[in-house]
Amino acid sequence: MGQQKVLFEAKDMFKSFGVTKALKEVKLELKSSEVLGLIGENGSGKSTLASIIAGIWAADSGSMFLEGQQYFPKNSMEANYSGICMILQEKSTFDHLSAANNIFIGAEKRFVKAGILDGRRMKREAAKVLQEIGASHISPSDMIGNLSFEDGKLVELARAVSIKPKILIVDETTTALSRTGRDILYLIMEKMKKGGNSVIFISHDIDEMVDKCDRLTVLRDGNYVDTLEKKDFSTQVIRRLMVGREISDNYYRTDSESCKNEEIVLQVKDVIAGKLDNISFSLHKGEILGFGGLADCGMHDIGRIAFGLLSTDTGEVKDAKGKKIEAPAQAMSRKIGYIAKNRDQEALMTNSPILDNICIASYDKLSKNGCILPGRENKFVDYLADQLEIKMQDSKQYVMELSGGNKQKVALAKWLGFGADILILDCPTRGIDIGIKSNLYNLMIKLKKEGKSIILISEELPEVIGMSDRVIILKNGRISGEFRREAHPTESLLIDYMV
Amino acid sequence: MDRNIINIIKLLLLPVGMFLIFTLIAPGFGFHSIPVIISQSIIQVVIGFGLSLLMNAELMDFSMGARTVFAAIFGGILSQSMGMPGLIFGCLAGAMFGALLMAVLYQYLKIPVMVVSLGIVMIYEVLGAKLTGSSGYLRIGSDIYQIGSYPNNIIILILSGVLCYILYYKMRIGCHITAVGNDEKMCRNIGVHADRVKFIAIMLTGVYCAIAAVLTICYSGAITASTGMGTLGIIFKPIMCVIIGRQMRKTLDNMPILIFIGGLCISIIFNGFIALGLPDALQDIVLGIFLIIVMGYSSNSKNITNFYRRLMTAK
Repeated sequence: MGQQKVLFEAKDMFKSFGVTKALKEVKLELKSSEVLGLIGENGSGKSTLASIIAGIWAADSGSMFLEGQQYFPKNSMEANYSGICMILQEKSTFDHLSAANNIFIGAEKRFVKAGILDGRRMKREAAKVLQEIGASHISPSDMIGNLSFEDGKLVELARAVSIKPKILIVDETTTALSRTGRDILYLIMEKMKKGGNSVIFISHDIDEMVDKCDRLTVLRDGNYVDTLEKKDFSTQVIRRLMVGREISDNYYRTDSESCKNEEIVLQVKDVIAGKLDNISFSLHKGEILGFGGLADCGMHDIGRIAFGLLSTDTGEVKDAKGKKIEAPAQAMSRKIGYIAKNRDQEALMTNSPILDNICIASYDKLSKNGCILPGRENKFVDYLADQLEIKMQDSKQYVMELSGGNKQKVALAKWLGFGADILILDCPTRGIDIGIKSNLYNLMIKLKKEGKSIILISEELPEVIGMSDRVIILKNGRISGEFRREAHPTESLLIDYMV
Repeated sequence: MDRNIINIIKLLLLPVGMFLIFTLIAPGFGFHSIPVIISQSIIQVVIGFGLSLLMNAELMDFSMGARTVFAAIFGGILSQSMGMPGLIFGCLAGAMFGALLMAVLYQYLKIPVMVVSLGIVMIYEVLGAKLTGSSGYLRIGSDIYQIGSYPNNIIILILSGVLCYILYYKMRIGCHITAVGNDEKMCRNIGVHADRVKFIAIMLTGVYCAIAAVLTICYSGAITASTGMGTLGIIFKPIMCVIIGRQMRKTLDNMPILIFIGGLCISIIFNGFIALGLPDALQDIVLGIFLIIVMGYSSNSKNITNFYRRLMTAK
């Protein structure tokens, strides 16, 4: 390690968004042939720093050096030309363009002769790149809109690889990928290292970081904390550096008894809808019912049908009194709340203030004679923001300016303020750091004790096992297994039922 | 047979079917009507080519009709002193100036294109009326309007379609326009200059307005200035051509052909209703209803598919 030359260096980086200081004197050193992990809680400044390096944003001050030369990209295209490429956390493909167009977007010049684009050559090259990364199942002619989210991410990977970057920045991409997709990404990272190039890897999964990274740079609240060498990696130390306090190893439930309450609060019977094929289950009062399976198994449709968002082809969803739930308004009238997996698009109004997002479901109780009372509104939001420790400037701040974890807290605050008795949480800890994760799990336990029921849909098996009273595994839209907490189901057992 | 040709044949079944229906029910409507149907669809299809570029970038422009009429008037005036070159130059200059004005206003004032376009409509209509004088009418010489008459208009249509195809599928700009329409923020993230792309898209509509202007003034050898937002009516048929075309994109990814098929359908409907003796006002009602049906289907196609799927499952 000591003999590796420094490929990239950032010094004294400052960046503010309004009054929020996202980066304060942050530094980063990346050596050649290494995977450098960038880790920290939500809002620690990882994505901001990565975006500055990738030319998406400009720093307020600070200096960057690439191979010893001053580096100051005006935009991401310039960063790409310099050999730095970033795969973003959010979806970054264009639905109405083909995979080939997406791979070479912004770099079509190489296929242009006398102003005319050679589409065939572009598709041939795209096929080569897709094959190179192990995604040959995607055709270069496929419209991205017709591909799955994961395949879209693989096309983004292909775009990055096609640039042949010296530095690849992977920002929280693995949460969107299945095991196969992750393996493809890891293989690319390995190839980059072997070729003398480097990777800046951002993930909230500490085990993944420990496994894949050579060094780890820890950020906290926009400050540089420390850089750890591989030999110093320890989950406990990393957590302490990230959060600034000790976090116990096991932040899941410690009890091993499942919910014994027989009172049914929600019943799904013989439902065929979306990807679901003849699904039946009951949710009991005070129960956390976990759903697991492969990304495409249909588990995300469970949340949608339970909230009335997805109409059933056959079968029905009923509340405790046997009344049908066929629309979100009906679900809300039975005190059901739903947080979709796709938080930014489906669970929040990111272009609106925190106040509006939290109050939107509760205007009935915040108004008098049809008029909304601002005092009551502010009190309501302040109380919930305090309860959930939402990091914000004030309730007028726009949700889009918040980190992923704080956005999730806003979505939760909306339903807690609404007084939901049944919460449907689809991938609630997706892209969330361990500090907030731990808070969220504690909140779920508290809600359970208060008699609230939770449907927990998650692609993280340890989370489903660790938090649920009962786990239902789906395979190809059907229930393939059901396990009670006291049976202590293991990950490998559940995987057997998933595949 | 090539799959694309099979798909084109499949799609042509729609206008062919409509044509056969009207042939059966409308007296005086038949194979002899085909040249009229095609001729009448040409201008709306050409405007549709330009409009589709903007619609692909998620922009909506109501000024293309006003710009076309103004360019035709300007070209007509120049043709009186410079002949055919004057007509072509005048149409091009008038249309490109309109596009430039709109692009600059959009770019620097950050006003939505739809709003800018309404402002341009008012300005251009008045300018057109001023240029034509008190008669509000301009005629060009018969030697000049031959350029846009049959069969030249068919050749112009084909060349416009080829240009549209090249812009869409054979140039970077087409790809970037689609990308900007898809997600502007993402474009910026990957280094595509969204503002520049939109500017170019608006300028390209100028080219199509110029072509449409030549065709418009040559269609009858004269042009009448329109005021009071009268030119807005010109844009509705091209909008429908594009919407119908977009609906069929899953079957064939070739926008110029799809817009042409859309234009044919609309032209058949109108000529069919005229043959049935439908008065002007009723024709407008039909246009309105047709627009609502097409837009309704376009916005709800997924729900309609789901409804049928559920119906079939229930059965």
